[in-house]
Amino acid sequence: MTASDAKKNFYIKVKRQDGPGKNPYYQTFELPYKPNLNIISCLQAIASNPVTIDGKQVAPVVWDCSCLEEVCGACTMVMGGKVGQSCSTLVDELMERDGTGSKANPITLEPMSKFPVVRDLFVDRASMFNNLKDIKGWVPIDGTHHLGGGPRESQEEQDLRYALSRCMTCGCCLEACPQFSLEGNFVGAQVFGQTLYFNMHETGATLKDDRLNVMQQAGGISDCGNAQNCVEVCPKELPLVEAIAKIGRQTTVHSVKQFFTGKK
Amino acid sequence: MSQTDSKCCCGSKSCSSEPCFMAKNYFLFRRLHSLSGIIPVGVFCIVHLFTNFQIMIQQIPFVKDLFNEADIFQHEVDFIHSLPALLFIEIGLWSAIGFHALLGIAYTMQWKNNTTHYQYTNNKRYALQRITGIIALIFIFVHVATLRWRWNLGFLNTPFYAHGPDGTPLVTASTAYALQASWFMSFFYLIGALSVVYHWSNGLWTAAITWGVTITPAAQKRWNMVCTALGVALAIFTVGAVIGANTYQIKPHEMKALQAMMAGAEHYEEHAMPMDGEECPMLKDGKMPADCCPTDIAPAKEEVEAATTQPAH
Repeated sequence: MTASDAKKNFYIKVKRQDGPGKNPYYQTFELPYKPNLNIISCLQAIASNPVTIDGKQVAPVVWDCSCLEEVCGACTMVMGGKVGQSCSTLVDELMERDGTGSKANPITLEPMSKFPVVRDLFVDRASMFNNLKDIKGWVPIDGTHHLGGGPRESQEEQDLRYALSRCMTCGCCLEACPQFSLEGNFVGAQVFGQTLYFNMHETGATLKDDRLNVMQQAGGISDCGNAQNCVEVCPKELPLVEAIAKIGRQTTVHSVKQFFTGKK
Repeated sequence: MSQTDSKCCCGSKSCSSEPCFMAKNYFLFRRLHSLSGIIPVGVFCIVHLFTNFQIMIQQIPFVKDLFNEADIFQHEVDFIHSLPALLFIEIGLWSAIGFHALLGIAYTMQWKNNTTHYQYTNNKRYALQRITGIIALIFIFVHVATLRWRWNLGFLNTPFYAHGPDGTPLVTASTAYALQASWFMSFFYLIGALSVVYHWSNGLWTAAITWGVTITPAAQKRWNMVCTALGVALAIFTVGAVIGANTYQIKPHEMKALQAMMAGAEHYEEHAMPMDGEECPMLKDGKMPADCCPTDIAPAKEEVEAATTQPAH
């Protein structure tokens, strides 16, 4: 990095937080430009030389990542005000989209705001996995013995279930949702997608009533406000609006049945 | 899952209080919230806005000629006032609006606005749905308080009377009087009523998703066209009514009757149409006031004119 070659350098502003409950603050870093840089490589460059533009030596920025190919969802963060995966988000794209990268208007990196911060850009996404436990997001089998061939599934159902199976629990849909908050009990689109996914499975459907009972609760399907940001930001392009409407229909029918049969 | 596992209805993740009646029946409450907005409130608003539209319609010469009634708006309001058990209809409507508003306010508190970063159309509609809901609530309250309950809210002293002390039809005149009171009133009615229209037609669109009627994006798009068409029609009714109320010229005898009512009427109940079975008060000359007689035995026009000097009771 040479100061004289300013044109080839760009700036990144990172929201930092030393630990849970600590006050966040911002630090700006200067990095040499290369074409097709992704955000993860920027963070790696900062880690190798953690010096801010003020010349201050600081602790390297902490972030979470695993697969580096947009499959695991771990490196999800807010870049330039919008949520996405830092492995598949390119510096060039952000510069073009937001006109950022200059010293006066740097690219901002922030942790997701709807999850508790562990440190810097690393958040705790446990709430999503706990919600999957609540809805019994699994297919129940009662042993290890051979259960025989599975039931036949239409091509249409396969297509929808395959799309829903792509969910990587990254949290983009929740981060962009105006109804979902850190302190609120709304479960969000990720759970609705997976509820439908398991309700559509022939064996998984044996737990359908249990799942719909969870959907009926406060924070369940009826708290969705139809802003539909989830489907816009989903990196895996899950048909989340369709899932929400279908779970809405299933829960409506489930409630009517409950009303007339008295079944819990 | 047993009922004791219910989450608190306050919307907080950390709340550990015992689930109340509402928390246990949360889904039912939220579905009733949706339904109460569409059926009682929404359907009433369609009728109301369409009735108001007649203020403009009856002023257009060639349209006016198509109808037998000279004052269509008066005729329709008289019909509404003649409905049996009107009080119960009003109480029903107020319960529905109150329920819808209370849950709506609680629900709106959970809103974390992010329209600056996520500028998608539906995100803006979501925000607008909440903003128009709040405006609509304030508007409906002020509208009913000043016109129906005849509260004197300072400069908003615009009570509504269906008839003058002598039976003069005052529906159009007192509506025009209310909207011509100041430029603010027309502005207030335009913004308020258009908020109601947006809130209802957008709510109709989201309700179809909520209830699981429109599942696919294609179905939602089609239903959106229907809701937009309904919204545009209602918006035309609204704007038409405000224009009509502003272009109507209050006739001197109407103004005189309106002022007589406003001067002598602290409590509107005295002048409202009597309920079924209630006796009509006799005037000094032995005639019954026109506003409490069934239409078919109402005094002839000459008699009404002759009784114009009758003081307010």
